Amino acid sequence: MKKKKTHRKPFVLVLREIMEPYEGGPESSKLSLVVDLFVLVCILASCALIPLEHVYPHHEELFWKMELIFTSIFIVEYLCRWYAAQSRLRYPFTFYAVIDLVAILPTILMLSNELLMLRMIRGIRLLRLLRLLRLLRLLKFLRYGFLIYHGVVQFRIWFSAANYQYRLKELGRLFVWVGVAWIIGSNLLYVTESALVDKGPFQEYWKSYWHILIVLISGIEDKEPLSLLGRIEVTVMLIAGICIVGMLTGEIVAILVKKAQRVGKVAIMPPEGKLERHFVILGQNAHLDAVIKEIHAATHGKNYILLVSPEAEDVMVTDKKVYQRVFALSGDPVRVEVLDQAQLTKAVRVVVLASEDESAKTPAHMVDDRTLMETIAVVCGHRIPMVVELRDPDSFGDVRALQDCGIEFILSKRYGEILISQAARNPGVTEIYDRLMTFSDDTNEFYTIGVPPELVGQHYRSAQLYFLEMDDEDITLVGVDRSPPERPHTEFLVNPDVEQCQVSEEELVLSETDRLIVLAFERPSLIEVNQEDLWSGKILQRS
Amino acid sequence: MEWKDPPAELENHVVICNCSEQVRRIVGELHAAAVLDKPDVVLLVQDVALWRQNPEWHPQRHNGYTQDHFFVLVREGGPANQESLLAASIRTARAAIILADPRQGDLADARSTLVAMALEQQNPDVHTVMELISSVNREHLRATEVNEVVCVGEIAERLIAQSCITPGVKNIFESVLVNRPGTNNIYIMKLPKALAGTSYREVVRRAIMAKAPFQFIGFIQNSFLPPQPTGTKAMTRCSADAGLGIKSHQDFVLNPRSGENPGRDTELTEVDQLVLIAYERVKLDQYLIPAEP
Repeated sequence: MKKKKTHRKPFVLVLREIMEPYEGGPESSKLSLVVDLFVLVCILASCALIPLEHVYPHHEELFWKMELIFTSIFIVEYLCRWYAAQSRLRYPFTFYAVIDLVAILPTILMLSNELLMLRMIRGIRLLRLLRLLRLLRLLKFLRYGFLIYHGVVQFRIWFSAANYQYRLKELGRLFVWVGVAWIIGSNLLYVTESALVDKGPFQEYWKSYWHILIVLISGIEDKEPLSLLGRIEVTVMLIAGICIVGMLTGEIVAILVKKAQRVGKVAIMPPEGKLERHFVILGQNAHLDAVIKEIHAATHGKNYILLVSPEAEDVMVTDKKVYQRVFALSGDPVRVEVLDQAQLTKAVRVVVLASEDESAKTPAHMVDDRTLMETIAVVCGHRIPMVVELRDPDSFGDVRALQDCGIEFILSKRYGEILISQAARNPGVTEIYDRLMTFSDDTNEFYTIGVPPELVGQHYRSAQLYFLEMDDEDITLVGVDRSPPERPHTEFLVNPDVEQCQVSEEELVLSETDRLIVLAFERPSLIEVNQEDLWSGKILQRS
Repeated sequence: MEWKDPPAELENHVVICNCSEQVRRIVGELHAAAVLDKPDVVLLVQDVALWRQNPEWHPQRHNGYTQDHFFVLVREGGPANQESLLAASIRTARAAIILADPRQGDLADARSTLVAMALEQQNPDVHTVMELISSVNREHLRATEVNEVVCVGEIAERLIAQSCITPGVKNIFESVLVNRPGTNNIYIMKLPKALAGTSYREVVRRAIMAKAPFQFIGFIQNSFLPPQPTGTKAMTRCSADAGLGIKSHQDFVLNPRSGENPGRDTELTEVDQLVLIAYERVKLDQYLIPAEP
């Protein structure tokens, strides 16, 4: 049996991967995340030096040494990026490279001999200016903008979910009341006892805090006051303490009961939770679990998924890891207030599943009527990429207007039937389709990328050879997409052939506006991802 | 008008076991204008009343080819019955499609598996394609001789997810799935013997240089167990493989990686197969092997 060789990436590719902002995809290295965090800390720390130099001028030498260390780090970072760049000739003129250079230039200028002379003559003002210019390295954050934004969004959603699940708001309010009662009680007892009696346990200011705390939390009268007024005050505190402990116990029990009731079920969407860049699935049927798993596999669980249907809260978790970022929102997806709660304006994709009532055996066309109503409800207020599942082939003819809006319709049974007939004619093809349609780290998917500059003006066949001979990335070219940007994959040629496609050889010459349809294990890094597309969610951050 | 009974001698045809709403589209695809090697189709029906009550399941009659090459065989015993299968000339069939019996509802997978086993007993060389209702049963079918299992719902689930992540990609899948003039299909073809020992990269290079009307997207590495004594079930099974033995393992390598084995530079053997996108079934030799002067 042949021994499987291990795939070893060239150093330059590994370095490029490390220097790129971490994306969490299958090929993203954890080292990339470490480098990102290290650079971010260095940027913050080096910028913090500037005000510190003003506040502690006597430590100027230490700060200067630290500044030199940070600058050295940034120089190494700059050189690594240059070395790993796809085009070393063009790299210094790219936007981020200019920022990187600006980040190190002020310190280098301060170091130069010529400026040292200037410094002696009239350099104080210039030196100050250069120091301030070091603040420009804050611009380096721009490179990590998406990473930081994504992190903030994820944290905010996680916090709102924890807040809802553990009733943090209620608990917080309770602790505020305990704190207020504690401070007031301690001060009151101290003042009362100090004024009315000569000696007692509440005459020391900080000790009275301790005594009152015990009264409030445990309900035990630790040290009794000597004055009548003091005893009345402690009695009030004791009653308040019993109430507070009761409320605290109640809150904890409520949390535990709520948790026990939802064991094995999808987490409920927090009413005040602010979702962003999430997937919305309207309706539910037997496909729901598989669709969630596929989306999770495709996005590596980066995006939250929100299920909206009348029975969403009863959906069971089949895989804890997959369902970690799935929320349920109970409600009729046709209702505007429910759709508002689903925060569709912030969603990246919407899936409408044919809501089938299995027990009622609803006819296919009636299922589709409901599905289409849900689709229309979404389309009315939002323009989000949508995929809609239909059951009845006859419904397909009626949705032309919606298709023109960019909505995709999938007739659930149709493709299965076609595949059955294909399998009868071409044995083995089901496995091929299975691999092409499944999201995993070891399978290929179709990607559409821009034409690399070196292929503009080249024939399609030259592009095929280019990808065949390219060893840096594993890409197979399968076609050309010439669709308008707003309607991708509507006008394309797979395996373009002069005779079969009735095109001339000239028409197979690639232009800048063309897009290439390729098979790849992950999004090819050959063409840089358009940041605007990434931020808008048009391209999902997969890998 | 009734459909014809199958003739006694049929060869290289497709047998469909059980009637359901899928029949219409499947026959439509098999007899599509774009298909060059249209097979005869025999539908094995157990419940004739069900078939007659649902004319919308019947293939389209306006397709003249279907009119002459689609046959309905009514047998009470059901498709798992040996006699029914013999009447459908299963021994000379190219492929058998086992559809889920709609009368069995969600529990049809058990019956379909029994039919598959009966088919394999009659003709181990027939390519069996089974429609699965519940994908959880897929694992159980690994122990049987069913060649391909299609869970209709699964395809939809995957396409929904694919379209969700990459809007429009459904159209690419559709273009290679559907049989329409001018569209591609995925084919799996044997490597021409003359190319044994050539690397995958070289094979693809030759196709590109020859302006071939197809594109390779990968290959399948087949491993074989040693040949068994003749007359055994195992040997019958591998008869199509010209005495090489039993196909024990298949490694699907799509978009082969560079620097890996199996990968782009892997030398293909004569038992390996190529995966290609093409408008129709083509003769690879014509494009890949230079003509002798």
